[in-house]
Amino acid sequence: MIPPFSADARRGELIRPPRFLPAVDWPHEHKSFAFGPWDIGSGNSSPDMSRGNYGAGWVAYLESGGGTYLQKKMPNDVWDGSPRYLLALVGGIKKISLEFAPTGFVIIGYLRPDRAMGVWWRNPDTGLPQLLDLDTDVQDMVLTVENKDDPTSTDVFLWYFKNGGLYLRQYSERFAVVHGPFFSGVTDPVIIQAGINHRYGYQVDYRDNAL
Amino acid sequence: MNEINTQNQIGIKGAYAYQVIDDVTGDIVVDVPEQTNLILDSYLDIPRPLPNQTTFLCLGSGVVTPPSVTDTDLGNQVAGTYMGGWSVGTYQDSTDNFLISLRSTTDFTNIINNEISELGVRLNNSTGTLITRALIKDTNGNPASISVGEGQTLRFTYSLYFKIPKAIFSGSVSTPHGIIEYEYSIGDQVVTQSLIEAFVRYSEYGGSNQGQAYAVYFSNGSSAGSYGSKSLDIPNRKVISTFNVPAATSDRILGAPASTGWTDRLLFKMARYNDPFHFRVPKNATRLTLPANYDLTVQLEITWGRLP
Repeated sequence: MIPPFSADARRGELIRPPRFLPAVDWPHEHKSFAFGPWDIGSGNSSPDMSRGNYGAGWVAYLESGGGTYLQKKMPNDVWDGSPRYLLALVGGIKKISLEFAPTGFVIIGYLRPDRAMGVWWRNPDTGLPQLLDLDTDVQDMVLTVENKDDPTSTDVFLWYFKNGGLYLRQYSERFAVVHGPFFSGVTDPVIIQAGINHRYGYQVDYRDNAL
Repeated sequence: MNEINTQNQIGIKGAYAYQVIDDVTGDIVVDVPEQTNLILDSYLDIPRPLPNQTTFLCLGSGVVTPPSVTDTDLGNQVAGTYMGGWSVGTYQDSTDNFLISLRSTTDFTNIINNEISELGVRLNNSTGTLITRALIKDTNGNPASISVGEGQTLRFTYSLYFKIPKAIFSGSVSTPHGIIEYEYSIGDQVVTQSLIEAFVRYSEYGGSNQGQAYAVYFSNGSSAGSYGSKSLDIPNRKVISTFNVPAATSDRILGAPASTGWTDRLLFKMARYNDPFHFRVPKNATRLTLPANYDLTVQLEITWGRLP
């Protein structure tokens, strides 16, 4: 079942629109925006949480060579030009989704070329970066923070379509539990955005490329 | 007070080789020679050649993110085990420096169903500070993965190379009483592999953290003790050791007599066990007379870093 929609979450906004973030004007295969900690030294190092979480804009982008990099938005509406090498996988990556844990550590959701899906995150139980291969035959996926207004204890959701049905895994459950399908019958879905709609609860917007 | 300043650079490099061995037949299924390993910044934060903590070899799977000197973790660690002791791998006494490597062999027997793609060394335990990181390479040096089957052992031979400059430093410094010509060197008459090994294993750059004892030698064969201090500059990989020859009531000629064997013209040495470094007066140099009531201060700057 879909997780209960907490009263606090109603203060949250649907999505902080990425249209307010600078353009990514260099060659890349795919990109994903998110708001996160103030700074990160290198890809898997500890984040600088001295100015809180979910306040600074970040972009993760996938280059043609298979490497995933991270850059931070500067105050003058440019990216900082300091690519932090995040992740490269044996077998490559097809698509990524970026979010940040309440601890400020990067979470990368990935789709492999063979449509296997997983997340690369820092497992709170071990304190170490971990590659979690979660499912196969996934059509699309996106990570989203449940409620940025509760930055220290918010959950992070992994929404994904498989066989035309929408499923959910949660950071709080170590992405181990599958919820759903919440609806099915979609042929070729692509997720546009996901988040909280303060009127209706959780919302996942998608388009069906088969239509 | 008169001063001598000198410097010395020590280099470190890491490498690994691996084999996949059939447990029953002992056959070597895969044999890949040494590949370069990256010494991370966290290693160079340690002010000594070989860490004095226990070391754990850790393996990662699936991730092939290129190593960076600022890395603090493997991308996806799946195994880690105590490395055991370090033995001397190679030793070379060349014209300008000593090269020595320490080697440790570690076996992994239970990593089936993992595509091993990266490795690193951690301090203290399998989740401790990561000090080296490398991707698994094939014999051609290209990133690769290791598959270990049932009944097979994955054996890593991990090496750390240390370059200890022999020439270290020489020069002269002008004092109100004359010129001191000096060499800061490793005693060429006495240095053995075991001395260099001991230096790499047990020494902190610039001497121990406790009060550092030095000895200064004079032409009459006598010596005088002195205590120095140490100033560590970790971000710049530099330590400055300072020690002082206290003033005395009579004139003294610096440097031991030439007849005392390995202490030939010895000017100073760190009076620490197995420390092979010392200052010398070159054999054809004029030894300086340190007048009565004057002291002398020596500053020794040692730097360290990665070898290419």
